[in-house]
Amino acid sequence: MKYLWLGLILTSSLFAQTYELKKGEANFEIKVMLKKVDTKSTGVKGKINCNKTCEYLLAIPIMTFTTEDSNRDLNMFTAIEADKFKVATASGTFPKKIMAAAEGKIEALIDFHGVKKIYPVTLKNKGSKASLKLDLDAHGIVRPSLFGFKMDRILPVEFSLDWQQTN
Amino acid sequence: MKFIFSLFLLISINAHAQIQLNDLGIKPEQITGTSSSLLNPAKSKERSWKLKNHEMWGLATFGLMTATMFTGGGAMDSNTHMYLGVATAASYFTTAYLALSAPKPMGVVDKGRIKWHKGLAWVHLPLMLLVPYLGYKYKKDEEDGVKHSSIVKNHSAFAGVLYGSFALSTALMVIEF
Repeated sequence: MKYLWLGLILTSSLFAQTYELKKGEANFEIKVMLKKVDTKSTGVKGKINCNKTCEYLLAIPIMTFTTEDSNRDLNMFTAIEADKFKVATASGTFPKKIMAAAEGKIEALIDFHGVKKIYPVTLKNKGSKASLKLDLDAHGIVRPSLFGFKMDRILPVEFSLDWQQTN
Repeated sequence: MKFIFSLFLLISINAHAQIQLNDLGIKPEQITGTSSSLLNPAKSKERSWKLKNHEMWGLATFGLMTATMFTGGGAMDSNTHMYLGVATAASYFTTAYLALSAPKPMGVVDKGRIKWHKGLAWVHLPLMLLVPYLGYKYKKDEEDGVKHSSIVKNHSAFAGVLYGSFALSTALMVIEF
């Protein structure tokens, strides 16, 4: 019996795979009226645990986003209440075969501004590129405006993810 | 044997455990900590209100300054240029007060266009004090029939530099909000 347990655990451990994010980047473009502003975070952290299926968690400390303009960054942090909601996360599960596929579609539970919502996510290049369209209104963000024109409600977010297998 | 059994059990549990934020190296204080480099909600609201108004007063000042520049030619025939100059100065200092008194979080280093926007204030703020005084002296000298000093004669040149630096400062923020 002891050997049976041992065998089961050993087998389970051998098939488990863990991936950690070596380098992660998130980008989005703010659009107001005719203006476009690129916003970037290089502080993306993440981990994937794979067994039969894979479970993942991505996290971005909000204050790591920057538009290369300190005044605009402060306005952005005020709008998204970065002092209160410090980390945005994406989590979920997906079939293991996705890790080897060129393209794929998965779902992500996004926790942003204290509101959780499920979004479809498009994956490319074996999970090294991911994109989703964030609905700012759904997360209770009071969208900033420029001369009375509010910024777009839908915010496309692109991720560049460099995964490294750790076991 | 027990040791090996425990070791595999530990590895197995780790492999199946739900991933937590601390597994990613994110500490609890980074998620819900009380200390923040941002402002508290009341200060944040005050900052937002003051900067929005700074923006509007800045545009109004630019409009008034433009009108003052256009009426400079007829300054000796009517008081329109003088009144517009006074209104420009009042609007300018209201704009400046709103920016200077807006709370700013500690440790924020200015970068990008805001750095130039603020830097240009070192040019237009002294000129905003000097130019109206030179305008007053110019008009008074004309009325008294006194010869203008060299600095008073350059009232319009200083006004031109003031207008240019203020226009550039405004454009930096309007174009790259």
